[in-house]
Amino acid sequence: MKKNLCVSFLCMMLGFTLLAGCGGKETGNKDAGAKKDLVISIGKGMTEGNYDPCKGYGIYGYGIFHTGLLKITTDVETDYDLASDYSISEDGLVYTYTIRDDVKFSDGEKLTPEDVVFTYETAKNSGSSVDLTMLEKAEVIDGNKVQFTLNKVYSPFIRTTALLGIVPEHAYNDEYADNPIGTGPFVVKQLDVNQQLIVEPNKYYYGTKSQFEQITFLSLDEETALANARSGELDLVMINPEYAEEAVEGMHLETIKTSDNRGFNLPCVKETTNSEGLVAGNNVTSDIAVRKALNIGISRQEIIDNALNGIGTPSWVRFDGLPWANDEPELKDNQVQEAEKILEQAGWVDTDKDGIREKDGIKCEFTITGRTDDLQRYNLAVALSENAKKLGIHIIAKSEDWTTCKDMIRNSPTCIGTGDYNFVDVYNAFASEFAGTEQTGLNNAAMYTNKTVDGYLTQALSSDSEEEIFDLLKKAQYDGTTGVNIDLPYLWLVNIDHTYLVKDGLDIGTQRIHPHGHGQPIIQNLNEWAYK
Amino acid sequence: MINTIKFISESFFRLLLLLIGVSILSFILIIHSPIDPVDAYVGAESNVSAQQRENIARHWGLDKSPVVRYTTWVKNMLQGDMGTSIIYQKPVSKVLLERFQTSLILMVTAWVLSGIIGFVLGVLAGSGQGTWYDKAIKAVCFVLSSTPVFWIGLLLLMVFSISFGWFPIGLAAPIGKAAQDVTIWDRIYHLILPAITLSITGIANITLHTRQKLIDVLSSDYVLFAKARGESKWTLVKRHGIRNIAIPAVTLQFASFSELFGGSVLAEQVFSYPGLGNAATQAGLKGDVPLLLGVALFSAVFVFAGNLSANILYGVFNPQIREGSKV
Repeated sequence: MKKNLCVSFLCMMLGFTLLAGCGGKETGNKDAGAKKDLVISIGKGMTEGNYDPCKGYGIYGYGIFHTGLLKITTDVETDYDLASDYSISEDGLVYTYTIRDDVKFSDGEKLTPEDVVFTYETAKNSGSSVDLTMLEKAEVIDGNKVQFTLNKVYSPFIRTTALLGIVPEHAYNDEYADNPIGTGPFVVKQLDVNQQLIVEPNKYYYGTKSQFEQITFLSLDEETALANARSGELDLVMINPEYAEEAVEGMHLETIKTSDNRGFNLPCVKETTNSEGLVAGNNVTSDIAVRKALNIGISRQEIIDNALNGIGTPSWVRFDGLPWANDEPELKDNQVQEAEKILEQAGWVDTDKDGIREKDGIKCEFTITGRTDDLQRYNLAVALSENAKKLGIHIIAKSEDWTTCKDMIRNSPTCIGTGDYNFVDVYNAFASEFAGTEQTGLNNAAMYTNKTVDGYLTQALSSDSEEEIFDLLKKAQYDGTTGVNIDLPYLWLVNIDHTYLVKDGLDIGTQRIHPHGHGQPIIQNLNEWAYK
Repeated sequence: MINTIKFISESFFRLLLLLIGVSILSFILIIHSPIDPVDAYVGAESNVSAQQRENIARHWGLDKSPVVRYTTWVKNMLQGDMGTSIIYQKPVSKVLLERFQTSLILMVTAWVLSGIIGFVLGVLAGSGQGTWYDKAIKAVCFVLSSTPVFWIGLLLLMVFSISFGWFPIGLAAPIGKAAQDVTIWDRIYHLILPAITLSITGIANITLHTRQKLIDVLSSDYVLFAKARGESKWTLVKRHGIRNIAIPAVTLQFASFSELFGGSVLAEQVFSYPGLGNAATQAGLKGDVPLLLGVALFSAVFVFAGNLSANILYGVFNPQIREGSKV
C-alpha cells in the first residue's frame, strides 16, 4: 500500500515534468524563426479593451488604431493628418477642417466627413474623458468640410482635434470598443482581456506600415515584469525605475525623456476656512520668501538620487520639454546660502535654536502629502522634507490616499504630476479662475493670482495660431518683468524618466517626449519600430 | 422528505440574507473607499474640465445619493441586470461569466490537487508518527502554511519558468497564438504553475488536520483491539482510519472555498491569469462599483455553496450525523 502511494505520487510528478518538456520545445521553435512578431509588456491598461476614441481611447496621444484630423509631431506641434487643411474664424468660435478623400478605414470603407461629425457627436455625449463641453455643434459643409462651432473661445480645441481619433459611423456598435475599425496603423487581431492583445498592421493605413506581422501586448504584473524580462520571450518591457539597475541578458535599458513631472503646489494665500470647513491657504508658503528659498535652496539632484534611484531629470518648470515651456529667468538650485539670506531678510530667523526658523511666532513648517498608491510620490515628499531641513524649513511628509490629498491640497501641498500634449494645462495651472478658496480640485491648487498672467492666458485662449499661443503661454511664465517663474507658486522637482528594457537590436524610432503616465506612451510610433 | 424541504428552504433563506448583507456591506465599503470613480475613469490628473467631470458623474449616476444608487442597483438586479462594468464597458454578468470559466478550471484543479495531496500526505505522516518522513512532512507544512500565495507564485515563476524554462511566464494561453489554434494542452500547460501555487497553501491545512485526526484514531481503543487481533498497520488505516479522518478533511476542504477564492486573486495577479480574481483586483483599484458588487455577490454564493456541500457530505460520510438530522 505504502509503495502504491509513493508510486502514484511519483507518476504525477513525472506527468508534470513531461508536459513541461513538451512546452519547452514549443517556445524553442518559435524563437528560431525570423523576427516577424514582437512581444511587449507596457502595463495592464492595454489589454482591457475599450479602444473606443469616443470614450477616451487615445486622447492622451498614443492610440494605435485611429488617427485624428490633425496629429502631434515629434516636436509636439500640430500637423495635418486626416484633415488636409483647417481654418479658424476671426471670432475664434468656428473651426473648419477640410477632410482628405483618399483615406479608408481598416474594413476598406472610405472615410467621410459624416464619420467625423458622428465621432464628435458621439464623443460629446459619451460621458468620458473626452472633454467636448465647449463644442456647440459639428456639421458637414461643402461636401468635404467639417465645421465645428464652439460655445466659447477656446483655442486648446485644436489639440483636441489632434488627439481624438475618428470612428466609422457604419461600423460603430456596442462591440466596437473591443474590435475597433479605424484609420490608424494597426487593427486588433485578437483580444484576451487582461491577458494579451494581439494586433496586426492595418493594410489600408496611409502612413508608414509596420514591418512586423503581429505584435502582442502582454498584461503582466509590474512586480513580475522584471522576472519576465529574464525569460527572453519579450522584446520590450516597461519596468519601474527602482529596477533600472538590474541587468538582463540580451536587453538594454532605454531611459526616455518625459514631460511627466512631479512637484508640489505652494499655496500663495494665507489660511482661511471655507464654507465647507476645509482649510485653504497656508501661512508659511504664502510668503514668497519661503517659496523662493525652497526653489533655489534645495538640491533637486539629491532628491532624485534619494527618491527615484537617480532616474529623472531635475526640473523647476512645470512644462519642461514641451514647446510652451519657458525657463527664463534661469534658476539655479542648491544655493543654500542665498536661500538662507532670503529667509533672514524676510524675517524668518531661528530664535529658539531648534533648527526651525520662526517669524512673528509662526514656525516655518508645513505638511505635504504623497499618494498612498504611488510610492514614488511619497518618496519624493520624504526626500524633499529631508532636503529642506538644512534651510531651517520643517516639512512634514505624510502619506494620504488621493481623495484626502485633494481635500487638503489647498492647505497642504501634495505631490502632483502633469505632462499633457494639450496646452490647456498652462491655463489650468495658473488662471485665477480656479484660485478661489471655495474651489476644489487640482486646477491652480496654488491659488495663484496675477493679473498680467491672466491677461496672457486669456489672450492665448482666443488666439488662432499655435505659434502665437505658445508665445503668450511663455510670457505668462515670464515676460521679462513678471510671471509665474518669478512668483513661484509651485515647487517643481523632476521630470520622471520612463524606463524600458528593450531587446538589443530593436529600434524604437524617434520618440516624441512622453506625457504623464509610464507605459503606453512608448507605442506612439509603434509602426516605425524595426529590428536592425 | 419534509426534513429535506425544510433544509432546502432554510438554506435558501440563509443565502438570501447573506446576499443582502454582503451587497449592503460591500456597497458601504466602496462608497467610503478613498477612490474617486470619476478620477479612476479619466485618470487622476487629467485636464478634463469641471463641467465634463459633472457630465461623467451624471452618465454613470454617480451624482445621486448612495441610497438611490443602491436601490436602483437592487431594482435592476431583481430584473437580472447586474449593471455595466465601468472599466470593461460591458455588462457585469458577461464579464463575470467569462472570468468565472477561466477561474473555475484553475480553482477546481487547485482544489482537487490540494485535497488529494494534502490527504495523502496527512495519512502518510499520521500513520508513521515520529518517523523521519512524518517530521519532514510536518516541517514542510509549517513552512507552507506560513507562506503567502503571491510569494510562492513568484518563486515558482522564477525557478520553473525563468531559470529552467519549463513553464510559460504566465497567461492562460500561449503568447501571440490565435484563439482558434490554442489547444487543450496549451491550456493545461499554462494552468499548471498557477494551480500548484494556489493548491500549495491548502495542502498544509489538510495535511496537518488529517495527520492529527489519524493519530487520534490510531490511539483509540477499537484500534488497540484491532491490533490485538493482528491487523497490519495499513489494514488498520484502511478499515478504521479513512472514514473517520475524512470528516475533518472534507469540512476543511469545502470550507476552504473562501481561501481558494482569496488565493486566486493573488495567484492570478502573479501569473497574469485572466480570471475572476484578476477582475476583482482591477475593479477594486478603479472603483468599478457594479463589477465589484457583482464579484462580491458571486464569491458569496460560491463560498456558501462550498459550506453547504460540506454540510450535505457530512451525512454521506458519517451515518451518525445523518441519523441525527432525522430526530
